[in-house]
Amino acid sequence: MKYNSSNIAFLLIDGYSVLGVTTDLTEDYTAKTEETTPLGAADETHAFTGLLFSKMSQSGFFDDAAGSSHATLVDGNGLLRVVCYGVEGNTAGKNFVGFSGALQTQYRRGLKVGDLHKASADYVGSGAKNEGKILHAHGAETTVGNTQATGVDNAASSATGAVGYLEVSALTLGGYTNAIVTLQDSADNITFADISGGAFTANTAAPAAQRLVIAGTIRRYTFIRWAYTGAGTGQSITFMAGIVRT
Amino acid sequence: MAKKYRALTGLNFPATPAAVKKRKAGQELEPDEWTRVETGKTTDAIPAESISWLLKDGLIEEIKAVKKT
Repeated sequence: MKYNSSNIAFLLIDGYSVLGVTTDLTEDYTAKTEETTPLGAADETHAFTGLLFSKMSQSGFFDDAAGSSHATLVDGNGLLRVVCYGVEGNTAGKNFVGFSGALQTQYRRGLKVGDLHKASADYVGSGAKNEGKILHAHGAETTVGNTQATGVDNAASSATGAVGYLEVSALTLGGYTNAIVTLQDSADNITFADISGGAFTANTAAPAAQRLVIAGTIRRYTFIRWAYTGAGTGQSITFMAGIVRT
Repeated sequence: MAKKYRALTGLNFPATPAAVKKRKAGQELEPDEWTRVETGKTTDAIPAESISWLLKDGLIEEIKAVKKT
């Protein structure tokens, strides 16, 4: 299936949602190689060193509104950012890309007569780049709930753990102490169990992002559950969550 | 009498046999048709279909009745 720019579901950097001010996003995923051509060879040869390398750059409009491009990037150089973006639509079960550590190396502001101001940043991957499944599409939830209507079916369990991503772009606690987001799985799509080690740290502020490494078996169906701790009114959490089976 | 189980992790499941039937038929359940059992709590409402894998995976344990002497 082919996709286009309208299918870009979200671009979340440490919880900052910058899709609305971004016009270009480029990601390179490269196998590091070394030339192995010996004397006497007529053709160059190369070997894979075993290392994979990713880098990413984004560009778009400079915007100093709260939570927009300037706030996201201005103090980000040298930081390991949790970056997630979806290229196939904002729907549970679609693929997303997550970086375990996107090290921001540069923030640029572009100013030119007759043009809107621009902002851009570059990142190098420090650690793994993951391709996973969206479990909770980027959006707001105001009550306790789960994704059991839109669980993701992997067709089988997997035995070697997973990585969970959570990007919280907005949070109103309305008196509640925090908002909890938990990964769940199921063998039969009827009963859902909290995954051991699959509870993200309680959310008390946004923007924020987390990446969880989970060991062991992940059952066939995966879900997200969210809840608020305490009591209050007017609560809301806007988040995206996904899982990568490793 | 239905067997009782202690949840060793948090569990969500359809609250009634009718809700289980709806779920198995692929129908969407209303929020109040689900129930939640927190870690350490006991329940006798776990869907029968799920008990074997939950026991096998160590996610629930059966509560044995103590005989009065």
